[in-house]
Amino acid sequence: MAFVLAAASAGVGAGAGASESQASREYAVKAAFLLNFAQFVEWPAEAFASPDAPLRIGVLGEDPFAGALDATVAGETVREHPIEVERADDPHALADCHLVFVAASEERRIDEVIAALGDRPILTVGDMEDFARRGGVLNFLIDERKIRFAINPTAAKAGGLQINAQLLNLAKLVDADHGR
Amino acid sequence: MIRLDDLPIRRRLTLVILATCSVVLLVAIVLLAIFEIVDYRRSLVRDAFVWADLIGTNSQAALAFGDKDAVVTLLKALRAEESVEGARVYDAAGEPFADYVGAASPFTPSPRPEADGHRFSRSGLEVFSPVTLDDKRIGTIAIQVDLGGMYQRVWLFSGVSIAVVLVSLLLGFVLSTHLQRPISAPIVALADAARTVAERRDYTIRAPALGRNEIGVLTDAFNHMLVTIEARAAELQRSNQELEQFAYVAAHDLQEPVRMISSYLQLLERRVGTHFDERSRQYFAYASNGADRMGEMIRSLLDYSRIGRDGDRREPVDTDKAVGAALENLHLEVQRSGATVSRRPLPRVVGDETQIVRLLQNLVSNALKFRGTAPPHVTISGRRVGGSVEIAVADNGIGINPQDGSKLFALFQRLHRVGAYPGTGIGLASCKKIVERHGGRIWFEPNQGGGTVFLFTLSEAPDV
Repeated sequence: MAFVLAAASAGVGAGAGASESQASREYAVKAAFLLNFAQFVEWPAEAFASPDAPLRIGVLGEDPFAGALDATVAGETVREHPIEVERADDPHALADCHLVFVAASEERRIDEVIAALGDRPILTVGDMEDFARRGGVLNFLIDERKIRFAINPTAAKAGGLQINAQLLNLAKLVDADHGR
Repeated sequence: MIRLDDLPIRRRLTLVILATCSVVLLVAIVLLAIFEIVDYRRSLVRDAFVWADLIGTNSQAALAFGDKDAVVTLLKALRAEESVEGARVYDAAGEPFADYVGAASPFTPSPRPEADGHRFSRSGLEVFSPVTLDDKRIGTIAIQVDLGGMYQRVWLFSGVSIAVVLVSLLLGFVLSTHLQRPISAPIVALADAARTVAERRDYTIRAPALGRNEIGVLTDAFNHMLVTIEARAAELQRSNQELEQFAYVAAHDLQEPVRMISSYLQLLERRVGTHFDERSRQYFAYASNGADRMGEMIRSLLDYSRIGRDGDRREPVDTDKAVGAALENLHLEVQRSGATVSRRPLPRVVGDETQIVRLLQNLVSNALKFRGTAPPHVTISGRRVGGSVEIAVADNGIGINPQDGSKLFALFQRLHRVGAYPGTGIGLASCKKIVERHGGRIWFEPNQGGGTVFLFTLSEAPDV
């Protein structure tokens, strides 16, 4: 956890010429954020088979974490759920996940991804600026060289997810209607 | 310094009551103050932990996502608490993450979080409380609270306590002054009665009996004692009177036969004296001397019995005149002994002039009688002592052994053989009787340079 927060408080470069290490640092922070998002989101009870069933994180598209995500979640639990990470290129393959990270590589088929996962109790996290506005639950954004995030509460509610007010407080709130 | 034992019982009771009051009050106040401080500290600690918990719980997400501004905003909620000097949130690594600095007091946060819990220091109260998320520690919140409020409370409490003690003491003083009366009044009354009895020798006085407690018993016992003494005194007075009456009557009635013996001895001598041989003349002289001495003794006894018999007069007496009269009466003796008499002016006294003349006469007469080989020298002087006059008759005579002091003033007591010095042994007894009837005192001291000083006291006459 110490690592997570140290990373979180570090500023990250957002310019076009961001170096290799800056990029890896950015994704280390984002990996930590993914784990933290899970802490502040409640899934409907039927989303888990048992109280200690694994919480599955799916990575859709080209994995930008370079192992940082696996390192971050290793040994961690969220409300007693151990964490599993899986990767796929087809959104339908990740329909059983609780959290799906949509990589920047999927920017062109966002609507397809949302159509596939939108109504399910899945916390979709897009690595592109207008993901939430276009019907996703949450997306990362860079603000004043810091990693922040936007949340679409309507989309969250549609999937049956309850997002902690503290998390909403920290997020930029957006509405899907503006994006369509 | 006034000793507690010398204080009047009323003041003492009041003092005891007030002292008890003060001690009890002070103990109560100190205990209350301790309780108050402990309770206040406990509530401070509790409040600080409540704030820490509240802010900690609400800053979980902000800490988790490293949002410093959100934490600062949360910490600003502490502005409502004036006593909070400041607060600091540390991240999971123990690095300072966000600060809040209060308005009033200086905030001196610790660079690293200390062990969870609270500690009081001179600067104030510090609490360290963990911030957890899903049972994992994600940071620490520290809150520093100013103790000024507590000290203010202590001062306020002290002020109120002093006021309470003062008011209570005043109240206690007023109440005890009234409430102690049932205890002190009978004791004071008893003491007053005892003092009056001692001063006036009036045994008819009774102490008022108030109540049936220990003091009541004491009062009863005291009164009973007075009844007994009064009865004894009356009995003693009666038997004394009887005795004096007897002495007077005996002396009076003995005068006649003694005078007859003397007269007929004189007649007998005149008729047959010429026929006496030497031995008969000697026997006759013995008989005649004896009769004369007996007559003199009876006369002295009669005089002694007569002192105060017709009542004692109490009037201002010119003491110098009395001394003059006494010396006039002793004119022959003074001349015969070749004595010199020195007189100093004396203050006026109150008493019976005849008796005072006799008193002085007896003392001067003794001074002349018990002379040494040198011509007698008598000095009469006096001085004021309080409301009394102390008169001294000093001589240069043979002196008196101090061991004989007790015998000296007794009736018929003589310190010398009958032949050595003339006298009946009644003179000093008369002096004592006169002085005591005047409420005075008579005694003697050795005179410096030989001889004796007789001293007596009489009441001083008020200025005319």
